[in-house]
Amino acid sequence: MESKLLQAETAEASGVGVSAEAAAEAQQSKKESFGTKFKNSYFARNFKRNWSYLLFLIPAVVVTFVFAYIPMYGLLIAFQDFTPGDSIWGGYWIGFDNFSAFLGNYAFWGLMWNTFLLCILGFIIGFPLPIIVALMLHTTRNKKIAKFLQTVFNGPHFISLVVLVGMLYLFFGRYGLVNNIIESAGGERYSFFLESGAFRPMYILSSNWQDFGWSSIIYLAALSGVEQSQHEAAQIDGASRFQRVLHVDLPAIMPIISVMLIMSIGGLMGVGYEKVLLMQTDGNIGVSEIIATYVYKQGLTAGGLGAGYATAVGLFNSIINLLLLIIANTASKKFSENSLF
Amino acid sequence: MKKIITAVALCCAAMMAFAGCGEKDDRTANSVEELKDKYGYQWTDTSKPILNETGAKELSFHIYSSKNASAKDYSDMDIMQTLFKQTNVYVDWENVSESIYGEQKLLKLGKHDGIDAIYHAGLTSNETSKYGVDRGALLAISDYLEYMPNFKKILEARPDIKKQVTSIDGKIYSLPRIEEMGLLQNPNLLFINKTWAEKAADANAVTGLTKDQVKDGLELTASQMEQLLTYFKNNDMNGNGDAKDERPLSFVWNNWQGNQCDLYGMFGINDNLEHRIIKDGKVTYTVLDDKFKEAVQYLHTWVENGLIDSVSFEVSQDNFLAQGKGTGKDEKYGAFYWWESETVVSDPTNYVCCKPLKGPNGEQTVCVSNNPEISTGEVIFFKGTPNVEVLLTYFDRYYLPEISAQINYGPIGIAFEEEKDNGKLVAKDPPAGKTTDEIRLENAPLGLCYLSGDVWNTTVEMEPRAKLRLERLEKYAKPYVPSTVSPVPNLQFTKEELNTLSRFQTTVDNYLRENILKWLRNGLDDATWAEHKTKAVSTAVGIGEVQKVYQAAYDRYVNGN
Repeated sequence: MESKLLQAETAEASGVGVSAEAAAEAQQSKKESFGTKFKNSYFARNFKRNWSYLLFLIPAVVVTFVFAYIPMYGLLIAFQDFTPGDSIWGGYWIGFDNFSAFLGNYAFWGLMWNTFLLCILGFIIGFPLPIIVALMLHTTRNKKIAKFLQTVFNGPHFISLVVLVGMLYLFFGRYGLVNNIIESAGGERYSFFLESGAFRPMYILSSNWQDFGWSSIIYLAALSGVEQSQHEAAQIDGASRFQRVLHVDLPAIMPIISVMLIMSIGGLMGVGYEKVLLMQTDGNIGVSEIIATYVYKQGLTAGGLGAGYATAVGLFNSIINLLLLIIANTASKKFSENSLF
Repeated sequence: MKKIITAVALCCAAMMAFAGCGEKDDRTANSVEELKDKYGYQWTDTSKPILNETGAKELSFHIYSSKNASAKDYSDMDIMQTLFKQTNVYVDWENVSESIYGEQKLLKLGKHDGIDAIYHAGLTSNETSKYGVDRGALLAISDYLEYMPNFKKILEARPDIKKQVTSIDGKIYSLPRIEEMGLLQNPNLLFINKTWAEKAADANAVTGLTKDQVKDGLELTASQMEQLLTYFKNNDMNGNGDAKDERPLSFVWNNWQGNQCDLYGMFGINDNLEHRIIKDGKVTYTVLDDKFKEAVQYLHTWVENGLIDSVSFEVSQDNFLAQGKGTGKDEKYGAFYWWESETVVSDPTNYVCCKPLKGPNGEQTVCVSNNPEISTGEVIFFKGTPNVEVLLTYFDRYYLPEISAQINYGPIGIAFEEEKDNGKLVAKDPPAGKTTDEIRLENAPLGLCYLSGDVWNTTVEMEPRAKLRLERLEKYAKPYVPSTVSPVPNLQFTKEELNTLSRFQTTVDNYLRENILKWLRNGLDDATWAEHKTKAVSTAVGIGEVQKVYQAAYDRYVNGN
């Protein structure tokens, strides 16, 4: 029974027998007294034809709705003097006070700048790296070595944040490995964790080291879809390996690259506080205090403005991210055919 | 599919039902007269039961409390059973772990179905004021003081405690824990490596230091200390062939104990981690004092020359403690700040405890920390608890010296000998394989207690470690604190003041943390200092505003709210 249905649907989808069905549907719908216009619309016909496929969407829609849309009512607490345990409709409304407290804060521009710089630098290094790695792995002639390297590159992704920062302290601490090497080479010990200049490189490079292999997976997947015949054609034309990478592989993964670009620009300001907080010392606090750590301190620890304030700043951050996403998407639409929505 | 939808819908409905209605309280509330008649309620004689047998059976209270991981459930603790026998008040303890309590705390304060009180509540004065004054969720204990003879007595004898627990509206919303040993105000002592210092004296490396001076109570001037530390730095003191692994002076930067604050004492600054003290009745920021500049400029040379190893600024307490272990050739510390030498180094006998360093201008004082020995917000009660007078009288018993000692250290028979010595509780040796600390963690609920002044002399002995430390503090720290300087006590703020504080606090913290370390490491010139003095008090940083708020709150404190 099911298989029959499936067959019928496949037939429908591929266009066989559509005309007869559609005609019958059209006749049926004419008989009905209301909603005729809707029933005849493109949407309705499309829906009727494909309803069983649409069924597959239900879990995704439900999950998204339940876990992403319903909780959004929590954003209301950004406009309240809220403490956990209060009812969200409990009243204690304070309008935009939380937002003006944040925007009017002396530290605001410093925080924005630190956050922006940390993210943009991380992005500039972290975005092209996986693409280059993927292209290199893909072009490696010995597939065994390529596989081995890929595994090695993926490894760091599974190290937890706390352990990673612990490793940084071990390696880059004043009496750590790196400093021991520097000293035995005749140099002066250097306090990586106390010099504000060392914070951003250390943060960004360690993050990228952790994730470049993992992020390259998606590009590798896209590259495996490149048709061999194109490479062969290019080879016959006398293209070198590098030229083939440039003119065959890279264009093939361009759509993926632009989608990834839009998505990462959308998440640009969304850096988490955990790692920054772990690496923060009095020495680097001038550059390592970012919006997320500030909110954590002010909203959730001793500062005491509370959950409402933290939510307001979070919401503010999300709005910036949304704007960035829209700008990136529009730009991408303008300059290429690729866009997210 | 339909079935699944129905099932999901049912689950949702069930969950909502659970969430919607909590436990229903079917206990009847009695007036005090009724309590007296029916259950023999009495509160005046603190040695007799509070309720009679009927009361023990019919009345009950539900207390929510966190407990440390190794503690028994409070219902199983000997001291709780003793208390039940003595008072006939039945308390049903609901114990959760400390981490769960951390998550649940605010939820329980907002919605406290079936909970009458929270023990180990750990409310900050801001939270107390929010839930007590603003939201009206907490019971005003001050309205029931007549049922709490011991607590009332404490408040009468100690106006300072009364001021600290009284909220801004003049009411008391929480019971405090008071454990005053006098140990917290000065969290640092300077210890110097004896063998190394003797070597330095032999080598005549330090002007005026002779070998027989190197013993507890050693007093060094700043320049002598500098010579000594330089000698430690340049020589292979521990004799392991490496002249670079010695750490002349160590501490843990901005730690609650063993921190850098005492060093500023050489210049007459009574610093602490907040850099906020009471001086001549005024809330004062040490970082605005010109002496602070001198101190920083002087200490900078120590940092620059490696006498203070930069590692002190980046390591945690654990790392500091680990590096101190080892004897003879593995010994690394020349001098260090900590509250005792025993936890830091393997051989504490090789380290002498020093007097504070004497500065170039002859100043000699120490850090005054703002760690209060009175923690407010230890137990809170919810409004609407039936027969709450009985519960209050019950907790009032915790303040009896003998009960307090058992709450804090463990019950008689386990932590203390059954036989008393002149009415004093005598600590019992732990059974083989266990330490005193383990016994204490397992059997003592900690929390509500009043151990102060006389109690130490008449009822219970301090632990030996505490005694030793107190002895050292009396000799080497307390005499050097000027009488005009005191720590900032627990203060109560109004809502507007709290808003001002939360607006500036993080900025002030970050500004000070960043700059003080920067100056110490990179040096501080007079122009930067002048700029700092104007910038710090402006609203761009906010020390001025914070200082005003603290001053106002302190004035209220002094004038009795």
